Order: sequence, then C-alpha cells, then structure tokens
Amino acid sequence: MSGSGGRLNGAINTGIFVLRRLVHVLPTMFLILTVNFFLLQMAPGDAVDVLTGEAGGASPEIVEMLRKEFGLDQSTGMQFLRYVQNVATFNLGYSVGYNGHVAPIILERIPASLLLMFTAIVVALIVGVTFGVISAVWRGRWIDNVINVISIWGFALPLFWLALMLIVAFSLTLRWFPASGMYNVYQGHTGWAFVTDVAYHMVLPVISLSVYYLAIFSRITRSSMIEIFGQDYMRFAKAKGLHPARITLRHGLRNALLPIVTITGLQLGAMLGGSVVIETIFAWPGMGRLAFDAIFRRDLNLLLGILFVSSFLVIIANILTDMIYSALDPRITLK
Amino acid sequence: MTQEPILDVADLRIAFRSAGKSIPAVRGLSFNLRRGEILALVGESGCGKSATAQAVMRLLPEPPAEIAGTHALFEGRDLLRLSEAEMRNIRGNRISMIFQDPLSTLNPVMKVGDQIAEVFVRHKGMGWDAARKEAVRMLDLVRIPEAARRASDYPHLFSGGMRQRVAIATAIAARPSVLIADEPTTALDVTIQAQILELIRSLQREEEMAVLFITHDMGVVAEIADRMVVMNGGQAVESGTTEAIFADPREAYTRTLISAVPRLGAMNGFGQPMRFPPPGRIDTPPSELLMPDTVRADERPLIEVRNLSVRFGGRAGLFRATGSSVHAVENVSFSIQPGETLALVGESGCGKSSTGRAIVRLNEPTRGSILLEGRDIAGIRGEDLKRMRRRVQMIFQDPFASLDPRMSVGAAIAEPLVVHRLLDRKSARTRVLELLAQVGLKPEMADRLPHEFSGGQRQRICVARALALEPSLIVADESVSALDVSIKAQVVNMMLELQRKLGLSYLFISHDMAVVERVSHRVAVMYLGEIVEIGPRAEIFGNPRHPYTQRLMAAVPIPDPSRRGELRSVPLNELRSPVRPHGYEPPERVYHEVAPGHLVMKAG
Repeated sequence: MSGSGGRLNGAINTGIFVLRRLVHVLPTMFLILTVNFFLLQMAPGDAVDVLTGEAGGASPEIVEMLRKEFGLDQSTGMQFLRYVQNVATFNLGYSVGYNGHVAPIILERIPASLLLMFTAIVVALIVGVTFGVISAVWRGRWIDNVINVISIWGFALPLFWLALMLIVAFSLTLRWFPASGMYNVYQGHTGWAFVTDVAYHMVLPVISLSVYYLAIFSRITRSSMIEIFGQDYMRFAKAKGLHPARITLRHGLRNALLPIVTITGLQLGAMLGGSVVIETIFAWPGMGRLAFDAIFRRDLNLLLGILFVSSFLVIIANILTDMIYSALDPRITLK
Repeated sequence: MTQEPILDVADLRIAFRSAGKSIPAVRGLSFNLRRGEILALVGESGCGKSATAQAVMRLLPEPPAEIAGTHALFEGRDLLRLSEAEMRNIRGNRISMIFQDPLSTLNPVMKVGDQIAEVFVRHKGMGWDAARKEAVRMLDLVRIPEAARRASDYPHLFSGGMRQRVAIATAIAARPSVLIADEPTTALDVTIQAQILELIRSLQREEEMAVLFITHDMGVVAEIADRMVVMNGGQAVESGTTEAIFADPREAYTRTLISAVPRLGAMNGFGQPMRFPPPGRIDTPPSELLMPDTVRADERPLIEVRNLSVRFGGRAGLFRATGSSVHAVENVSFSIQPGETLALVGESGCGKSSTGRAIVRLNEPTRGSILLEGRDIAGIRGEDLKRMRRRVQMIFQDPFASLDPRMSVGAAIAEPLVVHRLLDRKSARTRVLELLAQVGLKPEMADRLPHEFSGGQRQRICVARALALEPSLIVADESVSALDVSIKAQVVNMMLELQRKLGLSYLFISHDMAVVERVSHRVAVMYLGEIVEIGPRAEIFGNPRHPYTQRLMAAVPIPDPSRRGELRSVPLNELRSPVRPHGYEPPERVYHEVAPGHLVMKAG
C-alpha cells in the first residue's frame, strides 16, 4: 500500500471521505437551523418593537402594518416554513436593522472575522506549542515555572478585561497601537501600506483573542510531550545517537501534534464566541460585532443568518481538522 | 574469534535515587565481551541486567540513576566517563541497541525507511537520498520481503516480528562492533523468536559483531550464547561458556534457573499433569510431583463448545461496500470434562483468546453454541448471564492491569461475592481470608493495595478473586506468561493443587508449549481461528501430526546448548491474516482421528 498506487488510493479515499462528510452537513445544518429558529422565537420582543421604540413609539395600527409587512403576523410554524424555503435557495432573508439582504451583509463581514480568528489561532499555536515544548524539555526548572504561571494567567483572565487593559496600557497610555477599527479610514492606504496598517490594527485584538488558546496549547503540548518522552521509540532514537534537538522535534513533537490538532478543532467553535466580545471591544468590522448588533436590534433574520453561517464554518473546520489529523497520523485512515 | 575484549566492564555500580534514598540495582558487576562473540546476561526481573545494558549505552537518565564503577572500556575509551556529545557519536554507530517490545520501538508517524536512513545521515554523513537507498539495502539484509516497496510504509503495517527486523536493521546500519539486544525476542511468538534468533546469529557472523544478549530465558541462552553471565541481585553469580555452565552449573541459583525452564518432552511417559520441583529440591523424583487423576471422564462434559465462530467488524454500509471482517474464531468445537485441563495453544492472532473470551461472554459469539452443563449460554443475558458467570471465571495475563490500583486486595476478592449478593460484608471478609490462604497468601495482606505485591503474588490474588464464586471452570488466558520462571513454576503448582482439591476444570490459554505440557490433560492447537489438531497431551507432544503443530514444537528453544541448531529448520513466513472479505465462508473442514481422541485437520 505504498508508492504511486498508495497515493492514488489515498486521494480517492480522501475524496470519498469529503463527499460523505458533505452529505452529512445537510441534515446537521437543518437541525441547527431548526433549533436556532425556535430558540430565538422564545426571546421576547421583535424587530418591530425595536424599530418603533427607536422612533419614539408608534400607533398600534402602524405596528400592525409593519408586522404584516415583515411577515411577523403569521404563525411561528408558517414563519419557519418560509424561512427554510428561503434558506434552501440561499436567501437568508431581509435584515430590518440594516435595511438590506442578510446574505451580502454577512459575506461582507466574513473576511475580517476569518482574518482575525485565523491569525489568533496561528499565533496561539506557534507560541503555545513552543512554550509547551520548552516547559516539557526543562520541566521542573525555572523556565517551566514561568511558562506555567503565564498559562494559568491565560486561563484565568477574562477576555474582555484583558482586552480593556491592553487598550488602556498600549493605546491610551503608551499610544503604541490603535484601540479600534481594522484600518485607518482617513489615510486611504493601498497596497503594502494597507497591509501593514491592518496588521498594526490587529495586534491588540489578536493578542486578546489568542492568550486563552495559547495557554491551552501550551498545557496540552507540555503534557503530551512529557508522555511521549517516556515512549520506547524516544529511547530508541536516543540509542541511534541522534541529537537531542532532532529527537525532541522530529520524533517527539511530530507525535505530540496529534492531540493538539484535535484540541484546535474543538476550540474553533469556542473561538467564534470569543470573537464576538473582541470584535465589539475593538470595533472590528467582523461577524462577531454584527451578531452583537443584531441581538440588540432584535434583528432575528440577521442573527439567524450569522448563526447559520458560523455553524457552517465550524463544520467545515472540523472536516479540515479530520483531514489534517489523518495526514499527520498514518495509522488513521479516513472513513 | 579472538580473545581480545572489545567491551571491558569492571566493578559497575548503578543505583536509583528515590525519595531521598539510593536503591542499588547493580553492585559491582564485571564482565567482558570479546570481539565477535555472543555473551548472554541472564537473570530474573530486577536482577539489574537491563540497567547494565542501558548504563553501558548511557541511556539511563541521571538523576535518578547514579552510575559509578572502575571503568567500561570500549575501543580504548571509558564509556562511563565520556561526554554526552562523545557518547552520541558512539551510540547507533559503534554500539547499538535493540529493545524488547518491537511494537513500541519504532516511531509510529515515520516511514520505516526513514527511520533507518536517519542513522546513515547522522553517522555516515550521507545525504537523505543516498541514505534512503542504503536503508532499502538494510531492509533487504534483514530479509524483509519487497524491501524497496516496504521502506515507505509506516510501522503499523508491519507485524511484531517484522518490526523487530526493522529495529535490527536500524541498529546494525552503521556496522557497529557491539550490538546490545535487550530481551529482543521476549514479546514475540516462538516461531518468530526462532527466526529472529537465527537472524541475529547470522548477522553477527557476517558483520563480525559482538552481541551482548540480555534475557531471562535459559532456553534462548542455550540457543544463542557463546558465553554467559548469570546475574542475581545486581551481581554476577556465575560466568563461563554456555556449554560448561549448562553441563555443570556450580551455583545453586544457576541450577534453579536451569531447572525452572520447562523442557519440552520432560513429560514423556507420564499421563497426568506434573508439578514443578519446589525451589531448592530440583532432584525431587517425578513420582512425587505427578498429580493424581482429577478428570471425571464418566460424567457429563462440563462445557461443550460446538461450531463456535467469533467475527469482528466489517459491516457493509452505504459507503462501505468493500467490508471485510476478522474471522477471529472459525467453527471451533471442543469439550472439557469436570476436573480436566484443556490447553488452547497457538501464536498471537490465532483466536485462542477470542475463544476464551467468548466462553465467559466477554465477546459475543457470532455463531455456534456453548453448552455449560448441557445448557446453551451463547445467547443468554441478564440474570441468566450473571448466574453463568458464577460457574465460569477468567484470569488474565497482566495481574496488575486486572486489579483496581485503588482497591485493597481484600475488597477486590470480596467484590464478586458482593456483586452476586452471596454473602454480607462480614462473612465476605471471613471468606476472603480463606481464599487468601488457599492461594498461599497471608490473611493480613487483605488490607494492602495491589502495588505492594510482586507480579506472582498479584496473580495469586487474581486466582483468589476468580475462586470466590466457587466456579467449576476457570479460563486462564496467558495467566503465567508474564511471570519469571521461578514464580511461574509456583503459580502453576498452585493451580494444579487447586484442581486436585476443588475439582476445577481449566481452559488454559497459552503460547508457552513447555508449561502447557506440564499442566494439561488435553491440548488443542489453533491456527488462523481454527483448531488444526486436538487430542490427549501425550499424543499431541509425542506424535504431532499437523504441519503447523510440528512447526510450533520445533520452534521451542531447548535449554541444552549441545542440541543447538535443531530449530534451524523453521521457515521464514509470517502468520497469515484472518481478515476475510465480507460474506466469506470458510471451507468445510474434515478431521481424521489418528488415535483415540486425537483429531487432525485434513489439509486443504
């Protein structure tokens, strides 16, 4: 099962796997959609309450008329059916708050969110895994203790508090980094200048978002490296006369990556939640802040759309995780 | 072979620091290894033989290990005093090592070819492309079929024996002058063991290596070693040429070790099972050791297994059209009389454990019936199943893993009594003390935790727990395989004694032919899920008819250096796989009766 034949088989297997998982996506998405819809129905108040409230009140006739226009006067069951029908044709409905179709509003926000989350995950992985390896190699020494203290902080600090403190320290006091936004709207940068401008704006939100995950990755890496140090193949690698760095990285870390991939996949959904807080605090024009606004405006359609797209992203991320896992571990074949 | 020592160890001392105390493992060991010879370090677990090997390679982490000694001279340099960087140039290059468990020695996420190539890159300054080509040559050298193709496979696609070959290829890649082999065949089946021993010996001759062979098995020593050092309690008790020591062991400890090795054929002419001689009384005449006839042949069979099949996995489904399943047990039939021991022998993967587990219903039988005292227990559940488990109990291979580390052994033994609501707490306690006495342990041990006991004592505890419900049948799955020879002898003697006293029947599952010869009345040989031969013990051992049985017998090491090489005829082939495509039906099998009760499967 090796050579070119093996690789071809592998490609076919991966293809079948992705296909099968995609087939499973449909019922999963339907279930999520149903649960979300009825959960949000249970919340008191609707978009018309908010609209008329913002306008300083309205007569019952106008409220009635608006409800009719938005289809809110129909039974919950009817509303659900209509919603499902719409979603099936990739129409996520109309946002009352933003006065436009939901789908383009969300699509516009996705890149900013993905950029923030992807960067935060990568930073957390690189720093966390490095910390973990260092503390496993020098366990019990001072460096291990320092890293342990940092990761306990990372677990314990509330996300919003950390973000606010970073703003106070690095934006307001030291004035090193901007406190909000994704780019400087007045300068109108293009090309590389734009890229560096965005990177500059990303520093604080990425740090805030990644600290918790960094702590998790650091702990997982440490414990799985320590377990792997006791394995026979590590002793055998040493008996081959290999350099400790090669033993640790090529033989040790390569095996320790497996649990880290699993944890990363599991944490992606949680990170979406964290990004709501961070995007709101840093006025980051992503999906998280959009969700926050949608909740405030009782913009049911928009909120449902965001939840729908987010769950889709999580499902796709999990499929990717499984594929990465099987690429890293030859004992796992995709089924 | 010259007399010049290549490795000269003088007064080696190793201790392990634990909780502020220094616990000595090796106390002043001296030996030398000559160019091109095989020297065996022999002893039971804890004698310091493995610590010695690892100290020579400087693989022991210091601390907790503390290594001292006059010297360990290798090619003019003292290994005990070289820097770590200098040791790295020696390890894997001038001195190499292979370990006991081939399943865990190789890195699971690295291609086997690359794991060998690493040595060439590290020690011979080769580029990766050249090193990978050399790695294929090495795989070929250790006789792995289709080496070029297999080099890019990962370890999990290789069997245990093949993985040990890969490890050997890695170890000898840089043409070291010393190979240290730490129990390299202990985890392998006998036929595979014979192949690996043969391989090590022929490579040792071709490459003119010296081999330091560490083992607990006197049979293996007799097979392979030119000279031997017997170790006990961290010291050498006797050393010399293998022939001389086997012919005339001077020390009592050496004599005990040699006599404790079960010898195939030791039972010729005796009809009943026989105890091992008690320690220190090696010369006990066989008549005193022979057990009385415990088999109640005229009664109804205690258990009758008819056409039992156990299959795992492989349901076909929407996207799983090409399902396959493991036919672990296929169409197996046998019966056991009250007071009788039937041994189920064969190599790993032959289905002997699956059969045992199906009888206590830890595996669900796919087909067939299991009649316990005439009642089919193959499909029962609930209360019936619980009642059945009072009659049939099981003992496993690893006594440590089968005892809850946080439960006192008294509570562990009482647990079945409580679960089956047979006794209240107080009378359970009395019963526990009785049971402990029955397996030769002291009553005050009831309150201790499993880690306070040795391996042999833990297995006695497991036997006591199995006896708590007064079963008629005990399924013993490799129950003495993990024990040191002298302990093994004691536990076997105890089991025989219990059979005599309580009229127990055993289904004794083992790959250890020599122990099987001692304990069993009848033997069934399994191969690829099927019984290929079954019959009275004397018939199977004295007149094996099926080619597989003959091969199995031939592979057992003989603890007699003068008969070395008799197991050379073992052909190089792997146990085939019992994985079958979905819907596979095994061919109809026909058995010959070659002697009364002795059945052999017809070839085909």
